[in-house]
Amino acid sequence: MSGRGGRGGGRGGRGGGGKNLPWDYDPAGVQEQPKERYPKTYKPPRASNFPLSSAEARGVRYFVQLRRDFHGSSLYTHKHLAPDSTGTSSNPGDPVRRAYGQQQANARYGVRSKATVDPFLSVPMYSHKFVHEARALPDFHGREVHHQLFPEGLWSTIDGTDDGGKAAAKAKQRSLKRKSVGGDLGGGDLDEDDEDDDDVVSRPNKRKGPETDEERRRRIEEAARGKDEDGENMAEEDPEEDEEEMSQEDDDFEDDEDGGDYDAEQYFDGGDEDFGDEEGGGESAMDF
Amino acid sequence: MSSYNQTKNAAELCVLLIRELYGQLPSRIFEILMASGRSTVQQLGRISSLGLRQVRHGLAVLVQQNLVYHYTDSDTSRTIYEANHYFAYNIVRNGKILDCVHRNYGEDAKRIVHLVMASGHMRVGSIVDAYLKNHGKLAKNVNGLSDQPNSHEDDDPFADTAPEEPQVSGYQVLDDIAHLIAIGILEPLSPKMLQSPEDIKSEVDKDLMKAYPSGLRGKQKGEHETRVANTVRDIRNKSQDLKMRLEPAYLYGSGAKRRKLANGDRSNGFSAANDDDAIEDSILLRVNYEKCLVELRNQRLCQFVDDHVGYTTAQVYGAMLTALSKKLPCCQPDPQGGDSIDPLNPPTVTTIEIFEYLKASVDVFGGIGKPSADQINVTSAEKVERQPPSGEGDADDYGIDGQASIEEDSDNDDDVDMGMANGHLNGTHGGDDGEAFGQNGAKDTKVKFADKGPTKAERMQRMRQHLLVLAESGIHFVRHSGTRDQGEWTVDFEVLFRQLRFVELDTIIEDTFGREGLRLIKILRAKGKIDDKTLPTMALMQKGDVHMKMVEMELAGFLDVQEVPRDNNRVAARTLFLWFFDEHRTLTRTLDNTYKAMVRHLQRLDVEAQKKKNILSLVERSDVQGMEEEKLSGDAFNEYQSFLDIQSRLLGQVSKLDDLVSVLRDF
Repeated sequence: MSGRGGRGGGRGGRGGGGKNLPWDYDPAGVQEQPKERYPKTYKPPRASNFPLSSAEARGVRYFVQLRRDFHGSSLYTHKHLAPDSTGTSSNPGDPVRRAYGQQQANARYGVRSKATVDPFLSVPMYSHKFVHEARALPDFHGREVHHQLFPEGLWSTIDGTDDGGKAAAKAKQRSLKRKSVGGDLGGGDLDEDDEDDDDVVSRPNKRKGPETDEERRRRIEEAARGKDEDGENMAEEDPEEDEEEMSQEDDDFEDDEDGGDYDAEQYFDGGDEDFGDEEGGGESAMDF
Repeated sequence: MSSYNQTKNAAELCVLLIRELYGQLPSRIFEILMASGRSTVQQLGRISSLGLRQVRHGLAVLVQQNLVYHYTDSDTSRTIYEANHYFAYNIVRNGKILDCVHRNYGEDAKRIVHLVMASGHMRVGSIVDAYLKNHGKLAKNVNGLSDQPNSHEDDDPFADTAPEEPQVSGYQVLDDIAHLIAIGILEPLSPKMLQSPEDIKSEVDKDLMKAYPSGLRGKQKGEHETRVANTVRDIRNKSQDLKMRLEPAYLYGSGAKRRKLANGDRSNGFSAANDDDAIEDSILLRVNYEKCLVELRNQRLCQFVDDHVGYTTAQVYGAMLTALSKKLPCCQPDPQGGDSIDPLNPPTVTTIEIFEYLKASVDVFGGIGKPSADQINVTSAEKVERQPPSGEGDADDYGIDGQASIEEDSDNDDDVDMGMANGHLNGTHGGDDGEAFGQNGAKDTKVKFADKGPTKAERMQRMRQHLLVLAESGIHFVRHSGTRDQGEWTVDFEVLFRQLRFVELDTIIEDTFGREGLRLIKILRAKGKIDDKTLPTMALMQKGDVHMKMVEMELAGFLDVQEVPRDNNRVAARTLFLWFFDEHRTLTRTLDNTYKAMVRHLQRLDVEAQKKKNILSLVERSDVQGMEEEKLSGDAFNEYQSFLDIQSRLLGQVSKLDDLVSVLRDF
């Protein structure tokens, strides 16, 4: 552009031939004054002038219906978990802040932890029994799942036995404290299940090399059968356990630690168990 | 289908759609999958700084809803996940698809598709169970928002009674499911279908390469490639087996079954238990969006015809497209081949077939004027085009063909009353009709007329006139491709949609830059690149006006200019400035802007929901849901209503924008 400007200047003496150039603006049309953000001449079309046709309205209605159904199912994870989830601004109309890097992007999402509990609403109330619990993790319990469609790394997840290796760690810890606990966890066989090789640990024939289709099918069937047996185990597992896990997992950095003898994260956990009940009620009270 | 590039806006749109429907966790995982491409669980965990357990749960939901491809390498046993943005985008069409299924195949079919849609994929057995479980309740409140087929939590007292409708048996549900499979709206799901096409291909490639331990050389290469392509196609066609098996009974059969569903009414003495044993309980089904797109496309085309020609003709066109679309599995040819449809030889339908699909309520005798006989050029009206318009065929040949068929017709000219707009004489084929019917058989229970007014033959001839009008119109809605069975018809979708894309673009251009802008662009499109000096004379406009408009449109990205120096000096006065209109670029730009608009609408919806979150959290309560009007106080209810209004406007606008995207990209 600057090169063209120079040329235009050079020929200026010859009567402003530059005016005929196709990219030139008519100087009358160019305003140098600062403009308002939205020019007054622009009238955005109003929606009420173009109402939906009946087919479109039906389409919207079916979509809303579908959405409501899915939101009622156990696979839905709530969009906003904590009241301050859209960032720090209190006005919901404010534009979403730009996020640089994953950390800032993650900060947009609400975190449900003990720190974000609303002390006024967390007291158990009668009306809480009508409120759906805000779910942070989809819940595959009691759903019909088809193992052949899922990669094996997700099998424990869809069976509902995926606890991120924490159950094992916890079991160890507890068994130190209380001797009798280890049995009813259902996840005891996941012992030493380290996160990093979680994908491969569950396949026994890793060393044998590639397996045939038949082997795979048999394994899928076994897993499906195993799930049914597990189902009973899962039912026995106390719900309090879940609640605790949920509140924990938002501070996500420590996930792949086994928690040794000295584990700052777990330091106060022993205390938690004592008033786990009240806490459970409080968490379920939170809706976005 | 997957050949278009993903822009930032498109990716954002997919993520927002998933968040809207499936919740936060899957959308976060999907966002990262879109941004970083194929990843393992560990990689996802690292990038997202989410816990691996959360990542796995999110992925499980995505797999359940068919939103990711996954592939497990058999050697390293690492599982790689890849975003399936095609399916993610299709979320926006869910409502429209349900509406379309409802209209074309009835309430029961819609309920089934709804069930499958809500849970991603489903076993046939559990569809039947869920359907029967919910059906009583659905029958209770049919009027929309309040029905809630999936609420398994609360026990419904009406679940088993269903007083208003006759009890639906499992057989009937199975029958409906079988019909939907035969149409192609539901498809059997196999684990292979959750692998991306590239993965399938490379796996097959690797398998077949074992036959050549020393590598490929010379001729083997071509051989190998065809074998790979064949195997890939076999894998893909495997899922079609069930459809193929069901098709004869449900689509091409006696017609009784087909009509039953098409009209949505169920006769009481209906027997289902003949070939339904074909579907086993254990088959997994999911919604086949490609076929659904075909249905949506039909609807859209009818709307276009309604705008361009008229209502009755649109109805006839709808019947024609319905007849044709049972031969079309998807809208656009697969880039990797493997389709049974040859682009030069598209499937055709005959007049008789179309007539079977014409609704009895359509009054084909309206909608066309009655010019006198001498105003009509019978030859050109009845012209048969055997080749698609763009193909270089031997024009003379077809001319002769056309002539032949006309001469045949014109034998009877004298004794028939004229009255068709395009001069076709409706008595011409009268003699053949009985014969044609006899040959085809199974035509006895087609369309029943309330008053034995016009005969079937007359109706069919009138319908044919409508088709001829369509064939004559400047936009190639229909091509009259043969004379078998009173005329064969086909649609060259590619040519047609190229034109319709221009129609859409023109609307946008006219709205943005006014009529002058549109005129200039139309000139450029017709003439190609035009010198800046000749353009004003061509457009019959002032030079200054032309320049202003052109610069405006250039800044908006619709036009571009090319400089061609006439000599070495590159002086501006000695340079040609050629304006041109780049169709492809304009299309992609417009698409991207549309995505952006959709994103904004969805974000707005979120903001509105936040604003009214107090009232919404009240509505979500299980004791209020479904009976908002009784439970909420007046103010609260009004506020809720205003939110619903805003929501339906925003979502409605999103679906209108999706119409545009469909035309520009998918159809």
